[in-house]
Amino acid sequence: MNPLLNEDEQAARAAARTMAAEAFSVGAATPEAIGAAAASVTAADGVQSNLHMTLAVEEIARVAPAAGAAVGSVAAAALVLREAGQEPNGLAVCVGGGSVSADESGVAGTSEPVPAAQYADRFIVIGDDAVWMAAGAATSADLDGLAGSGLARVEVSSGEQIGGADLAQLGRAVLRLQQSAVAVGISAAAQDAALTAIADAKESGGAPDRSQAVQWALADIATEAEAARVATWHSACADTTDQGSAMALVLATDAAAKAVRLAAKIGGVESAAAGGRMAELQRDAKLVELLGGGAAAQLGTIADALLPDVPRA
Amino acid sequence: MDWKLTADQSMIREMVREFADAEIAPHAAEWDRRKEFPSATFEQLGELGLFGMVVPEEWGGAGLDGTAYCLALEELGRVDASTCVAISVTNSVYCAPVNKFGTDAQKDRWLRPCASGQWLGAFCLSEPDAGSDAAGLTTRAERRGDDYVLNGSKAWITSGEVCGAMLVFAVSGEVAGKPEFSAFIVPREHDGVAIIHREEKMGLRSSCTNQVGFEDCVLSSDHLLGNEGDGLKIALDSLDGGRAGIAAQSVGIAQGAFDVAHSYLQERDAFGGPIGRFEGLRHELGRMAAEIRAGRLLYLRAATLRDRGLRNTRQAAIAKLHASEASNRIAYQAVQMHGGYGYVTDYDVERFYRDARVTTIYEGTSEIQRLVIARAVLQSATGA
Repeated sequence: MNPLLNEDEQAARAAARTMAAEAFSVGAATPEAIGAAAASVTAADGVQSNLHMTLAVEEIARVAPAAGAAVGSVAAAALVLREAGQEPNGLAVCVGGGSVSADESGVAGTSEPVPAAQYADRFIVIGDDAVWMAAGAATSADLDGLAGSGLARVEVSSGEQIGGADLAQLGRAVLRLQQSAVAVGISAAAQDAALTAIADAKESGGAPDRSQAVQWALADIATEAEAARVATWHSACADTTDQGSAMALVLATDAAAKAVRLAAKIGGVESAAAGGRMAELQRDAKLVELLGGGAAAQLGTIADALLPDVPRA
Repeated sequence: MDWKLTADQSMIREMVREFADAEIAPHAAEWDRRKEFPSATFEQLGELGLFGMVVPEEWGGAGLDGTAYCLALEELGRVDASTCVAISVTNSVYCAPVNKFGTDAQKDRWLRPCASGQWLGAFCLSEPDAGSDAAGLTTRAERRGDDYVLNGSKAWITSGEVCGAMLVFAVSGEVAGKPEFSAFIVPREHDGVAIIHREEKMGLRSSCTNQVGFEDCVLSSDHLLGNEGDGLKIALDSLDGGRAGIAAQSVGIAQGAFDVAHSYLQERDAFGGPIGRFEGLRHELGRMAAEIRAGRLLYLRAATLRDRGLRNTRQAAIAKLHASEASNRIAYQAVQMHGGYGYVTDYDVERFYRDARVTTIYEGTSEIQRLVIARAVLQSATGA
């Protein structure tokens, strides 16, 4: 049993941290930067690529959640394409949910909002039992949060089937995993922001780090983030079932929502400053919590696996 | 990153699981009702090598790693937290420190019998008026010639009345105006040692929790563990190891509560079918499962760090805080799912609920864990 990163994985994480700082720390992410980042984090093979994706997306999201979401979306699609034996040309994203139907007979409908969809030239539609490469038209989702991530709904109309139930299951898992990684990155960003707020207050003569309320809030942020992180890593490496990836996503989005709330309390009223880091993180965490059907969808997925002989009422 | 268990880890988990299901689970409720320490079962547990799991074989132990030890605790906690806590204490805060800090002569005399299953060990740090605040401890060890004389009393001592020896922490001097602590190995039958009383507890009722008194208890210097003044270091190191174990125990209790709730949702009919078909309960069950998984992964991570000889203070505190708090939430929810039947003793879920409660209290309360974690986060720029 070795639930610790090995040397290669630590190096990959460090490289992603450097890349995040260089490519995404200032301004909106460009499609070129998103594509390049996604290509680099999906360069590894097999299980390794799932883990590398989560490590890199967490680090990017820690610096810029919107960029993390966009890179994760493109990287997840690249992993699905590779598994389907398709050439990773252009910039693809996975879509699903909403009114989309995708089965053996065809594909149609409008998807839920997906990061990077505005920049994509190909759409991979994940159905229950089939995966399609489809043509589509993206429409800006105009949601509050993840600004600059290229979030859009996609109307899909026609295409070719590239996989069956197994690929669909993998697609759902990697989509959840990249979303989990974004959420873990937001938790880490919230912790960073709280530590910055504490440091700023100390420079002004305060001593918030001696406040027990602040200490406990920091501890809770770190604890929830760590729980989400190990669940995400574990799912990436050892459990890409619907149940495993849904557990990671529930834990990660719950942790992110709690982390930004506690970090905002530590920062005080400045946390509500329009356009400020804390306010942005709160919006991003809320949106990540809601994308992909939200916690209710994930909990339903877990319960279906736990109670296979008891159908939902 | 490899999440597979080693052959030894899988073997110990299977062995303990089988024993727990066959020899402990059928009797745990009755032991709890009668507040009966199951001596015969502990003899079997000792024969299985569960008293000194991380102690090298040369000293009578099983020579396993801390991860295997935690997996065993989870399996015991899943059926009976009372049995689990006695095994936890004897392994993590008696055998481990004696193995780490003891001389060969001390190990031969006071580790080998425990590790080989002849008797249990105990850990005496807390006092009636001082627990987490070590500076408030008043039990004293006065030097008298070549001997030490212990006076004072210790509280919340798991297995006090049934152990063979205990590790006792006492003030042995003063440095720069602050008390200096030392650790002593004290046989239970030693002159001057008295079991004052047994606590009446909410949970863990078949484990013995005692107040232990020391009155002019004369110990030769070969009872001193480590050097004079090493007591705090030994205590804190022991607790770092113990916290991952309590996290594992917490996960076990949570898993036990989850298992009975999972069965009940499928068995109990209401409004024309099993109650497990209702979305609200299904979602709660899903959340319980996710929290159990997180707790398990956290304790495995903390244990692995320690197995590699790395400091795991922050990770062990995180594992204990998360797992113990989650265990209480899960046991609460499991009772709720049972409705009225969760409130009576017909189902094990009531026992799991009572047993879970202490996990956020002993071996460092949740509040102390938060302070430990916060200190680590503030010391680290990244905290990740």
